Amino acid sequence: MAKIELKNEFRPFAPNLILIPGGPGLGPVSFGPLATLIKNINVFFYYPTGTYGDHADKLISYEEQIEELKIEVENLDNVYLCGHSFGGIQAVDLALRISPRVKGIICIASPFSSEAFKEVERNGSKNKTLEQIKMDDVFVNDPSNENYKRWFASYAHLYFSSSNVVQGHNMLLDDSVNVKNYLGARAAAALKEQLLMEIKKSSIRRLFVTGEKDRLLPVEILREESSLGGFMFKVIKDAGHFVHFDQAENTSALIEEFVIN
Amino acid sequence: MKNLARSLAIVLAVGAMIQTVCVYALENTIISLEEEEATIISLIEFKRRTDSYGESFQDASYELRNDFPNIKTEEDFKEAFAEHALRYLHAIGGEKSLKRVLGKEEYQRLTGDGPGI
Repeated sequence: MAKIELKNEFRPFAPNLILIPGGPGLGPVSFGPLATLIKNINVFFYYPTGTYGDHADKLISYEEQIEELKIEVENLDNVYLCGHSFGGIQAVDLALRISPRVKGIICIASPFSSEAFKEVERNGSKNKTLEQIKMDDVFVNDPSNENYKRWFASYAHLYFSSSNVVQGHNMLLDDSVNVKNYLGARAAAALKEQLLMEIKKSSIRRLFVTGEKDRLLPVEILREESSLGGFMFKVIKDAGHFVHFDQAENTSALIEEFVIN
Repeated sequence: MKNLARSLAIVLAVGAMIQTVCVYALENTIISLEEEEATIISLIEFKRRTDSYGESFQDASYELRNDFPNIKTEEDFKEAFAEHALRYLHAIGGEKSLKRVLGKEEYQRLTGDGPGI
């Protein structure tokens, strides 16, 4: 089952920030550096099913994944949902479903629109290396958790800033993942454009963070996503798609300012 | 000479007609449901036998040489199976159903989901 886990000392009246990883099916390990830097906020990691050593024996659909996240979060008050990429889609979706409890959403480099997903496909298929072509084949023929990690990591140059590709690659290989989340929800994730229009009508505070050097989803594409959803839009220098991993300090400062102020 | 030329012309014309008829026949081949059923069943039974005896595909494929001369490797086998499965679906009018099934979430991986996000 999914779970949330407090990563710092609990402050009774502080906001509750839930960090939701992407993938789908990655664990929250990429938030590690960020979590140590955020102060005056209760920081929780969200672990999707199968990402903390528990076993998942069936595909987990998008709806099931949202429901699991909802179960973990719905008993908290003063909630801020911060999702990376696919995690941001979940954050917006859940916020709309349990809105009085959610005070704010932070999307880190999250695609919603068909244009954004076309950009993902385009950038994911150009200039493939031999390792990537080989890993595509390995993953299609044997979609295990281990191969999912290796496949994801083989595209590290798409996900991390140039100076952080090696660290990012190794971080992904060290992660605990659940491929059944990816297989069950990746296709459905590309059909959530409507969420932007809905969240724009809400009173939930919204911040969209993107990396200046994101090679999967460039700044101008994400600026459009942000605009469609009525988000406040911020660009972090020298950061790729995993903005929070590439620039933990700048990202944490931005998040703290948004949540506290 | 004139008769020879005329005979040659007739032979060539008939030959061309035969070729046309053959091409037309291929394009309009009616797929036999019974034949496809039998083919798929024989392929499945072959796979089941080789799996249970632990035979190498190269050795076992000798058995298929009469009915499936093009199947020499396991990849050839998979391709032949996929082809006949599609022909069967065509014979029962199942093309739209196939598209619907391939569109379902759980089968997306067969057609590719795209990079992780």
